[in-house]
Amino acid sequence: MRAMSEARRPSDGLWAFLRRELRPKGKLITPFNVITLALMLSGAVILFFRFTRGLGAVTNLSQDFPWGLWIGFDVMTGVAFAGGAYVLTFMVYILRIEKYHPIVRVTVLNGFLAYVFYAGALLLDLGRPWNVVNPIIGNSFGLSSVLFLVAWHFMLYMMAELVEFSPAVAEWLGWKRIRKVLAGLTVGTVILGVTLSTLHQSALGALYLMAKPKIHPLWYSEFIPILFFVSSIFAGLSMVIFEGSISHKVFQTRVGKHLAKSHDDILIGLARIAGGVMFVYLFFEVLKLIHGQKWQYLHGPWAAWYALEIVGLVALPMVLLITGSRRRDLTMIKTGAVLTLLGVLLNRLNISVIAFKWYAPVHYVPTLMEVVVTGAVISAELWVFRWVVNRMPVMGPDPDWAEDRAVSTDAAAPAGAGTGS
Amino acid sequence: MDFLPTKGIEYLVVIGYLLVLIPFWFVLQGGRRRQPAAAAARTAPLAKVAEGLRGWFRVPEGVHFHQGHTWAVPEGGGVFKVGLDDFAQRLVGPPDALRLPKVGTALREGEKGWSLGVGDRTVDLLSPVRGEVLEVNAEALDDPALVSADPYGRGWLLRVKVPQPDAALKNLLPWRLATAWMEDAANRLSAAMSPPLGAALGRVLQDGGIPVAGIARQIDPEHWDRLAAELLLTGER
Repeated sequence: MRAMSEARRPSDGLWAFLRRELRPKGKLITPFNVITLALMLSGAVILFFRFTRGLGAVTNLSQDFPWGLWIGFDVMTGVAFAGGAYVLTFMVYILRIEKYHPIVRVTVLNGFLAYVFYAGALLLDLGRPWNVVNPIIGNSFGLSSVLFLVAWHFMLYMMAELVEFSPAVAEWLGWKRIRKVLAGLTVGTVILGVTLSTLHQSALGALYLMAKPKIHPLWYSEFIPILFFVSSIFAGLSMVIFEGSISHKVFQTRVGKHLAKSHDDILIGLARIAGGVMFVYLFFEVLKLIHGQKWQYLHGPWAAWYALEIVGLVALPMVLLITGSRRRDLTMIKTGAVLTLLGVLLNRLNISVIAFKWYAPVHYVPTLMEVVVTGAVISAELWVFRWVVNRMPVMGPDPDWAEDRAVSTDAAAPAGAGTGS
Repeated sequence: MDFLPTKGIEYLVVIGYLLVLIPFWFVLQGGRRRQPAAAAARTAPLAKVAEGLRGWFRVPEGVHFHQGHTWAVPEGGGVFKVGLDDFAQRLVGPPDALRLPKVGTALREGEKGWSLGVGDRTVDLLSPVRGEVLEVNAEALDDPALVSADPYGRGWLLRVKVPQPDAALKNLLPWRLATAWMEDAANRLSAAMSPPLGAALGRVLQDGGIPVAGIARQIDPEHWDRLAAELLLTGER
């Protein structure tokens, strides 16, 4: 009766089904495809040289500036942007705020892919990437390093997000029993995932605690871990707002009815939460300045740069998000979300790249090739995201047999919704 | 004296922040309550009547309303389920017959979509969306009273394939805004029942009563036409 749920069912054997699903859907020649494909191909060529001739061949990294764009943007910023997953799973599965249930899956998928691709981009930056397994297998645990925590957390959290998302995969494949088992794991995994996230979001900041003399005093503080954690909450929520409003349009036909009707309300609710957290963050920033007696640095170009980040890209979007949610103005909310994302991006880049060794006469500037590789990583993530969303029940509708996920809406549920084939 | 520049100021800032947090919390929570308050102020003269009607008409989540008191729910893939809303249902009462378009008929938004037979008169209703009829609710055709019993559920009427679902939704009133609009319609209904019509009806609303199910049955044809034209928008064609 309903074509969408039938297409998902592997009626003619698993392999035939998978082969069919691997084929592209929709038009091949679109501006998005052309641009991202070009980026990925150039990225592949650059990475070939990076792995055959070393980092120096394609990047501006040096002994003075060992961490550049790939760490500052891909890892630091990417992981902060992926924070929406732990915030939302916490709200839905622990606090039981059912309102946000319809966007949990898409957010978890986004978080998972962000970790795989952006944290995965860490491998590009490691001189000997195969050594990445050492802290896991115990060849050299490196127990005294923050990176030990980061390595374990990244690995465990990726697995946790995969388990959180796995019921969607089981629904796609039509595995009813396995889905039941996987769905039963969700709450436990969420608790683990939230714990891991709070720790490694702040641990990424803690990495910079050992670079105290190298980071401009306006950005350095012993509270960096707390600031990283708090900012990951509103960074993640802003990403959910931004990404949600785009994919809501792009994947229109894949949006289930629960999400379709509550989407605006969800964005408004998220904007309110993000705005509230930003208010707390601003307070911490003020406290940071006072506690470190940093007002002496509040003059000159660096102070202006700092003010741009804090006033222009935290305080202003906070006002936009809160006002937007009060007036139910989605344009204002989306503008606020974009500015917030820029603010978090600027903050992470300031700490890791821009205000890092601000005193050095020659400063690190990424090469075009570094930028292209970053673009290629983002493109690859978007391709995988699109592939999954177009095939699995990510934004709904669920197959009829997966009933427990459906949100009850009394009279609104049209008759016959539960009787489809 | 080293104390003051560091800890002292920090404590003052924390106290100041906690004080600011109180009004901030109200600002953060505030937005929602405003709208109903404003709506209540606007309808103040009819407050008593409106009070009796509040919550009387069901406005379920996720349903999009057409001004002519019909509804549409997107089902994905450009398919919409449509029917008539609680207000229309209460206005006309349980219909005796449904005259629904055949599968394949092209509907136009805002034009006559189908009609209900109530006693010896026909009530036309507007189609909330433009598109092609995919399916007709056979159950409702067999038992027209379903429309009255469960207007948003088993009493749905048609499934329509809509070519531009986004544009279609923009023309409809989302459920969040529909409560105020239905109350407004109820107020207009009560206003329409001023003496000339009221005489035909007997006293209903002015006594603090609520609209009797099937007002249409009790109004003489001339008044009915006027009421339908105003409330179901069918008189404008």
